[in-house]
Amino acid sequence: MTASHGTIQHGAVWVHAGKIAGVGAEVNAPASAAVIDATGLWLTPGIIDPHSHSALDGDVNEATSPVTPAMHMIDAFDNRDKALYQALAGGVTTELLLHGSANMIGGQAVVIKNKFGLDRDAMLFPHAPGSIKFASGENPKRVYGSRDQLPSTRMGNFEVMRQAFEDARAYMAEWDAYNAKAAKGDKTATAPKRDLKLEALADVLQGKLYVQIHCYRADEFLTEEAIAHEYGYKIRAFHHALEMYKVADKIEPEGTAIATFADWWGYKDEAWDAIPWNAVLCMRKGIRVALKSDSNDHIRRLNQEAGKMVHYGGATEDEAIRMVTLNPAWIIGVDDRTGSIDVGKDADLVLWNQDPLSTYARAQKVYIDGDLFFDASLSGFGTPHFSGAMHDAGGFGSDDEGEEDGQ
Amino acid sequence: MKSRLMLTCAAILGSSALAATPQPAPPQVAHVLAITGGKLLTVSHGTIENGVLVIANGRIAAVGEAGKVTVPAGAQIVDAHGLTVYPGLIDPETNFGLTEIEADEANNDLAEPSDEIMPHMHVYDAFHAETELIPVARLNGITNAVVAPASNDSIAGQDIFIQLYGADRDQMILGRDVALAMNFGADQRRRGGRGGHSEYPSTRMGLVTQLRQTFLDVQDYMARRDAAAQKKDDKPAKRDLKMEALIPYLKGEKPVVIGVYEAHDIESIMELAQEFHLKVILNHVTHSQDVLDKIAAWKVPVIVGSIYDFPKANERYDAVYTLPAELAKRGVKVAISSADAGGPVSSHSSRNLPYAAGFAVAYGLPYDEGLKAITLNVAEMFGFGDKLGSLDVGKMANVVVANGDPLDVRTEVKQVYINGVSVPMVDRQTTLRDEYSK
Repeated sequence: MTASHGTIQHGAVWVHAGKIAGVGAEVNAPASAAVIDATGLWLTPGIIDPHSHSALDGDVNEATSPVTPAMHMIDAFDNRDKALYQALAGGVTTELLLHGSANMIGGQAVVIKNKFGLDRDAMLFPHAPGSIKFASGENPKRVYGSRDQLPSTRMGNFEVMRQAFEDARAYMAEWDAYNAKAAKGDKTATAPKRDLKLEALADVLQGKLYVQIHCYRADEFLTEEAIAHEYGYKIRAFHHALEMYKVADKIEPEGTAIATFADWWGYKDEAWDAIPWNAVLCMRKGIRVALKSDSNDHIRRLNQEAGKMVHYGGATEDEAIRMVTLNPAWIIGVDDRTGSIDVGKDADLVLWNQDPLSTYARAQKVYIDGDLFFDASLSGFGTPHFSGAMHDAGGFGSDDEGEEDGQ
Repeated sequence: MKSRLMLTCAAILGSSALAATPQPAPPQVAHVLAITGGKLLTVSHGTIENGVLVIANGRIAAVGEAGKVTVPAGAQIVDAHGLTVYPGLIDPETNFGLTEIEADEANNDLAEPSDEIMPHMHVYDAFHAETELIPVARLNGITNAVVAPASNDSIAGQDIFIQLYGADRDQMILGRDVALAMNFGADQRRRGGRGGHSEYPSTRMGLVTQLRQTFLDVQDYMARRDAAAQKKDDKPAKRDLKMEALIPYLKGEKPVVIGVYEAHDIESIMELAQEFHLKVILNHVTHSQDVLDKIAAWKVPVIVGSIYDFPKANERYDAVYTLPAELAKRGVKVAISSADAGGPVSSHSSRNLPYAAGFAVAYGLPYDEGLKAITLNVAEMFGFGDKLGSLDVGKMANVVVANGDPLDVRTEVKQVYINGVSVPMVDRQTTLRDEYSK
């Protein structure tokens, strides 16, 4: 199942130097190539989760201010967390590890390849674009409202954001003025003090970071897009996006994708209008749709969440598998490197014992950059590269400690 | 919900006439229905590839191969060729009607936290029959469920067994006080605290001692009550509802469902349960890998849930997924519940119950056992084995028709029958879907 050009029955894939070198009914692999007989098995691209809080040792939210764009999730990343292993056994090869949703403007994400057993730096997705997490709605207003601080309403939420961008604009103007003077050789010009927070916000305004927004309600998608237009940045994806089916026509022209749940609903007010047909309805309106876990639980079976899309709305096999491979790759900005079985892409591949869209599928082998990182037939953990002790951060890997994102 | 409940008359497969003018709910369907040509998963006696199921007066009147079952003249025929027909699914643990949006405290009636010992809390007193959660689960073929209080207390209260359809609470509750909800482990030590604020019981030692004292108190209460009954001149002893509530369970007349996760906790609480001859159903047991043989030797049935609970660090990824298979292999009667891993709102995901069973099948549970774990085994554990859980003559006609394997995530349920009534296939979510799909 290629995710980009349909399913090939009795197909072959040639992997060379960590890349896909051939794919089709037959491939021109050299005779010296090692052959893995996958007769009776299914091959998909590696599963990609565009919304995970795994392996952060509990440090998901710097919930001390509603604007914390200078936080970097890489600083909390624990590459020996058992959640990574359990996701790997579910076929997950790439994850976007996001800041939580306590803050209107949270921190900057880290993109990992799930090469469990290698050291921290070897697990980073090389040259992946940067992403920053924004939030909206109930979580920021609950976190700060419970302390009698701004924001405690949706009015407060959005005003905090706008003020942050005004501050960033002023900061950029200071630097522009200084740079202009310095360019003219003005020796009296003094550089403004660097401010990491404003620098990060300037990166947003200059389009250097993909904006990933936790957002549930129809009205808030519209407000977020309006603010993005006002300050001149693009929104890469709305995450959760449970009410997108209500305003899909309006959001589609913006080119913003969604990363949504298959069928979660009702865990809080802003999830009350969630419907399991959301993903397929939005897809039919032309929105790029990914499914995501936001949980150390569901990350282990995102293939089944994709299978539910056949049930809820009649997605084709191709469309369903794309929601957990190529589309999340686009949201992260790595769709030119992974997310489908195409020549030239990274050899991130999963062999399944059954149709991966069924309840019964188990990942048999997981390859990342052509290297075997999980093999269910091995005893013990089934991890060729990992030995020793795993860490356990506790909780469910979500952005409110001990609870799922947003609860 | 009420207006939907009124539309119960004789709608059949794929009917779009469900949005008709509301009319008074008919008492029971008197007509005869024959579901023909479908693949029948009987649960009790195998699969019938081309089967006929006759429903009359809300009960299964006949079941068998096409040609061997007489379809009564005048029966309404439901063509189920290419479809799969199976008994309604039964979720062994939900909070239906005790919560709507759990984040909104005001509408929660999940547990009474004032004391650990609350056997006199009756779920039927709080059950909100009109909850939106029930139609959502019903659309995926869940027709019955156990409603239990949340797990805060060592003894949290008494469960009800419900039908997921009916005009009101009284039609929907099939059984009151069907089981006692008990819990044991780390979570019930909620009076523990740092800085000297702890109150008894704050440890497992305290929890067990408190339970043992309670059971002894009930035995003493029973003895005094019986003695008082002998002496006719004495005025009757004051009734203590907490004590009264525990009597049927100490007499072993009804099951006690013990929610417990860890192997050592299972051993501790089972020692106490055996001391008082409780009729035990073990619940959760997701970290029981080291005591599976003991569980088999105790001959107690087990509800596994959540199958998605996380293995511990340094356990193999499938340590929990394989539990139903490992238990069944040892002859243990297994049921499976719908809970997400640690999910505080499992009732919202009750519709995913069949997929949990399917996942157990993926990890070694024989298919027939997987289906039983969410139908007949649950019915038997809670005293409804003669009424529900399989396609057998005389049982209540809770029947599901779907376009494929019930345990597969891709399968869509086409029609649900409860008590022989074709249930409108609508809920709050289909309504929103249709409203925004115009």
